[in-house]
Amino acid sequence: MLKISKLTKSFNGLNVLKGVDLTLESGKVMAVIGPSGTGKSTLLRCINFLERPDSGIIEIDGVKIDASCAKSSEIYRLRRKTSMVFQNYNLFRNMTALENVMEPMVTVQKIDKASAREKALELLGKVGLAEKSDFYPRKMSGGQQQRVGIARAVASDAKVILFDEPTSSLDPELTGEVLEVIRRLANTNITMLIVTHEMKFAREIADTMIFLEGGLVAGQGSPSEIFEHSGNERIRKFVSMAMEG
Amino acid sequence: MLFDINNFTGLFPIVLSSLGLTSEIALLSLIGTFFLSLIIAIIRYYKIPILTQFFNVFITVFRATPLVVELFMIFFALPCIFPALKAMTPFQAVVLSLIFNTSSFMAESFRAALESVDRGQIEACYSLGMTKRQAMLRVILPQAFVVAVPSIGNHFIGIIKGTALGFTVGLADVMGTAKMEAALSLRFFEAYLCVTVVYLVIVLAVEFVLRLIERRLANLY
Repeated sequence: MLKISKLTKSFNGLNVLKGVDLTLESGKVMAVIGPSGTGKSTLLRCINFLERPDSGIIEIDGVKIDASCAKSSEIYRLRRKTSMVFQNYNLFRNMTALENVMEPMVTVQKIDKASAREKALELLGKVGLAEKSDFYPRKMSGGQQQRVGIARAVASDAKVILFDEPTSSLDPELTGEVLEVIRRLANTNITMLIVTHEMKFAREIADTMIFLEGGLVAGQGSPSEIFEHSGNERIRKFVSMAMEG
Repeated sequence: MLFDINNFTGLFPIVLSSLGLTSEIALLSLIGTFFLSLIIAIIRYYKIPILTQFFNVFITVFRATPLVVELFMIFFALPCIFPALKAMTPFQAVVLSLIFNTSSFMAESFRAALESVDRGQIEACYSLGMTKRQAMLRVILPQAFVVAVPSIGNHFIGIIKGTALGFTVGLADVMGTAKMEAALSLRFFEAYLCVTVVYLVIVLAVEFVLRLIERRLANLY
């Protein structure tokens, strides 16, 4: 489903990604963990070309792009295969919750408005916000906005949903409702790649995990392999500290 | 007699008969300014090469020179060099100079409004597969427009007042008519007080409507 090889990205001479390889099978959930500043978010943003990678191959659901010579038509095709849930929600502020969820269907997939509305209402119901469908983002809490953001990402019909620290800007008491929505989504055969600092959550929902450090994949495996049987000293230290905190 | 009330009241029907011309200049200039500023702002927002530099020069020139100088350049000076421009009517010259002058200011307001839409929402557009154009039309412009409305309103008031320069190229607008009446009757105070009242009422009325619109827009999203 998702295959990345030798992905590199540097900002002003600083090498953030130094050749990342990963493979994610259809329907699986992968969590990306690691210390701050090791390129976790950059990795996600490179996968859909919000940041243009310097080099490497990205392949999603049959669309294959060589980053060093990607044309914009290829980038648009690749972006339609993914959608992103942002740390700061990034809902369209000029649209209601319902219109936000309808937007990718109406504008990108060209689905007629009536069917898009029906599907959007269904998705809002699934994230528990059916009664908020006519609210503008500024009238909603962070947790509610993020749940709309998730519904919008699902509405885009993407093959892979990328979560970029979806709970990092939420108050602790709002984190739970968002994690619950992601947890339910993880059980529906959607392919997901999640960058998160919520270690317990990551361990619980992920099928596989990668530990990113210094722009490279320092370890990967099932949650139990990463959390309990990692041969890597750094990973052991990181997860034990993270689980305590 | 220091103030001739009959002359004063009698002036209003005469002066107001030119209101149509003044409104026409103002509205055409507003529409033209709106579109030209929007185009300049979008070009500068995306930093489109060559056009950006062209409009940077355009803005510098039209911001730094008085409206009346621009009008005289367009109507009197340039046709001497470019004979094709001799066909231009005073009406067209006034509308053009108002559009160019006001756009050089309003384009900056528009650009600031476009830039007020946070990067995150634009990234959300792209991440969903939307094109640059779709992001602009569906997300950036609707929000930027709301931000820009107070500034559009202020520039519109500037345009209304700027129409008074029409008399310098021979237009019988509100100002032109009053000036002619003053020259005939030699009652300058009455004539110019009449013009003052007319402009004051128009601008206050426009301001009132603008404030209603702004209040509606403030609670829009």
